Amino acid sequence: MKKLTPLIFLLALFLYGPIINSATNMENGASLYLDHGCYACHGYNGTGRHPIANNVSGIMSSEALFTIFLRLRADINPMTPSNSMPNYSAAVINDKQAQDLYAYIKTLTDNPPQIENIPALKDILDNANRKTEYE
Amino acid sequence: MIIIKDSSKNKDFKKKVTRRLFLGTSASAAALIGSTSNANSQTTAKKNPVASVPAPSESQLDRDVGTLKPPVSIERAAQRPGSDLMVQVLKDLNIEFIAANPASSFEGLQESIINYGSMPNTMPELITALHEESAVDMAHGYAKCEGAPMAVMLHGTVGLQHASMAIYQAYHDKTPVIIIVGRDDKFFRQEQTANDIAGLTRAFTKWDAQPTSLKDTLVAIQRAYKEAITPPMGPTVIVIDTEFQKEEAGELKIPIYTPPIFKTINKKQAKKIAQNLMEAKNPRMQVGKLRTPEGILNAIKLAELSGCSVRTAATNLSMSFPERHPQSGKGNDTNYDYVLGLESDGADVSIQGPSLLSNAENRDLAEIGFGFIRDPVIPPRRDLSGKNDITADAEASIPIIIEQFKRLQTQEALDKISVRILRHETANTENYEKELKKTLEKKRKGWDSSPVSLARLYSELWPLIRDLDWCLSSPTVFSSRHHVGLWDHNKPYSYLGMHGAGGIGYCIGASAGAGLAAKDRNRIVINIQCDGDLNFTPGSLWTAAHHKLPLLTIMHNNRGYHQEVMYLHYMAGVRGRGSDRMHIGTTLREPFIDYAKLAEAYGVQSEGPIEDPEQLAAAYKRGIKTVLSGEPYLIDVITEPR
Repeated sequence: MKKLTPLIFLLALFLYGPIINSATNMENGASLYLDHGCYACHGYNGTGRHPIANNVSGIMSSEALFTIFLRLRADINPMTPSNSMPNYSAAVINDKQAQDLYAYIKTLTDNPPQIENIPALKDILDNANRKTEYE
Repeated sequence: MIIIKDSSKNKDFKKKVTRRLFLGTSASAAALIGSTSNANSQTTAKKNPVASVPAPSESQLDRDVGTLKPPVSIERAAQRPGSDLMVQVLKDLNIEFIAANPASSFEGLQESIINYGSMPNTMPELITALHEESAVDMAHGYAKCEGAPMAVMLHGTVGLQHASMAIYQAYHDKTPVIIIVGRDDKFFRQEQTANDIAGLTRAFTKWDAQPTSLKDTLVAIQRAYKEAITPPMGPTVIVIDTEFQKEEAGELKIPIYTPPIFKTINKKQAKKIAQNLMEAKNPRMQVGKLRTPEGILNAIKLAELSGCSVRTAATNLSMSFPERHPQSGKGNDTNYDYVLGLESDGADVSIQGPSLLSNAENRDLAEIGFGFIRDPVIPPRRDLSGKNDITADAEASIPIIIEQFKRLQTQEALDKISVRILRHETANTENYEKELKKTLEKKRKGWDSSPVSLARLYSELWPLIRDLDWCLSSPTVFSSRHHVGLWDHNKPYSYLGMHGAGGIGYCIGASAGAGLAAKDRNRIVINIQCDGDLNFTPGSLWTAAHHKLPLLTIMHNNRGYHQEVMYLHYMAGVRGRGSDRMHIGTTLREPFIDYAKLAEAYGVQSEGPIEDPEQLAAAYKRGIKTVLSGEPYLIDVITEPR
């Protein structure tokens, strides 16, 4: 199955590629991001527990791959509660909406300062020592 | 089996200090935080708001702290009320606090607590809880810090039912709590009494009794204490009739207390373990949750004697091995040839106290209970054959292993061990520095984001509390556990772990209990409080204000029940029906809840909501300064969901 996965992606890319090239609506993308709960795992700015801001590789490398990814997410009826990323069929987020969503996510940036420019983190690093005090 | 002296019985309890003294002693610690400007503060609390009930007088405040005493001579109905003797039993057992919401079925006992003895309302001090569930949560949090129980008083059938969820959690958390339930069979509200009140919670309590005389009541309180602190530890219930509380005790003497017997490994087993630790080239110890701080000290002794590396559970729960001890970590070699588990899994020997199931078989009767208490679904990650398991109390067994180890010790072995310790220390230090850098790198992500990232919420706090004596009281799984790898969990109470059974509404009550343990000990309690959780039992905020608990509450306010947002999201995705309605029933908006105002209403100084992460550090400084002065503080922070 592992060997087939890249082929499936390529095939899907071939099928979806031509569809998703029309103009994007960033505002609509932002709205979709919130309405469909992307913020739940990825944060309001793409910097949550599973960050996606600044992601230029993998599924965010092209609109087509992103859309394929949405369509091929897990859709197995869970017997135990799951917080995995769900599947988004075209009936839920159509190709145009997926395109808007992709465009919005691409605008999310995270350029945090380096550790030495963050007082709290620098303080932690400067004072790092294994304390031997205990009760 | 051997008899272990009950350490709590002879514990040198710290002298009780008044609120005023505490304020004085905290001043020096406050200097660490430095002066903080209130210019940008949205501090909301105002003391003594206008109310129809007048503020307490100076003399009432003096009574609160035991300065003013009631008259010595009694000329009324009872010269020596039975409840005075009950309180004396609690004093003899060193019960520091008893939490209650007042009720008629224990009015006799409550009167004795606040008026009896040379130091009335001391050992135990009456703690006012605004809900019975909160009272038990407080006892739960307190016991996790101290390794010893406090007590609660509950009213008949209704009070016990209010408390039942918290009791259920304490039971699953193997935490000792002494529960006294008042029973008034002659009360006009017959719904509030029953023939067997304790039956309501029998399935998830360790032991209960409904004594039939005053003498038996005194024995039952002692037995409840012993049962509660003996593994598997848990809550115990004594149902006390009002007539025994009020009857004249006459010349009745308090029964002699005999400490409990803990089941230990035998000498032969200890000798074998000691020999294996001695002969192994790279022994390891895995320490889970022990019972008391004394147990941790003995675990440290054994580790230092044997030179083994140690895996601790201190970032998951209380009463485990100090995280930054030089031997705590993977050590210089991960090919361990002998692994000893102490209340934890060990590949070669695992000494663990009896499970809840062993107790439940005698308690959870099918007709009234759940049809048996269940152990967690997730099995321990180890060989389940159990062939190396020894069912015994690890804490009580450690001294026997130490004794045997010392007998086998040779100079040659000592030399090898000291070299091994040095290698472990070097490797663990290097690993710590390496891991810390990686951890800090991760914390940078989303540093400037608004709402505030949870990594920043924890990271900004650590430098400010690092040099204080602190306790992280709240479960952190919902705030992504950012203290792990960053904070040093070196004390028995550094992190108190999870709820017990995942029941929401636990945090603020348990944190108030941790505050009771911290009070008069110059310690501060940090409660990273989930918003959903606070709304179950916010009344504990008032308890924290009233009893001057050193509690800093930082809201992880993601304005929803976020775990459920994610679950529902997935479910809708799987069913292909769209995930754009997942906020229904899972979010707390329209209107948003203002937690700073909620805290203000309960008399807790507060500020927020804070959305700009740049405001966080200054708010923390103000909060810590207030807490060090002996008052609780709440900061409402609008956060990323996870």
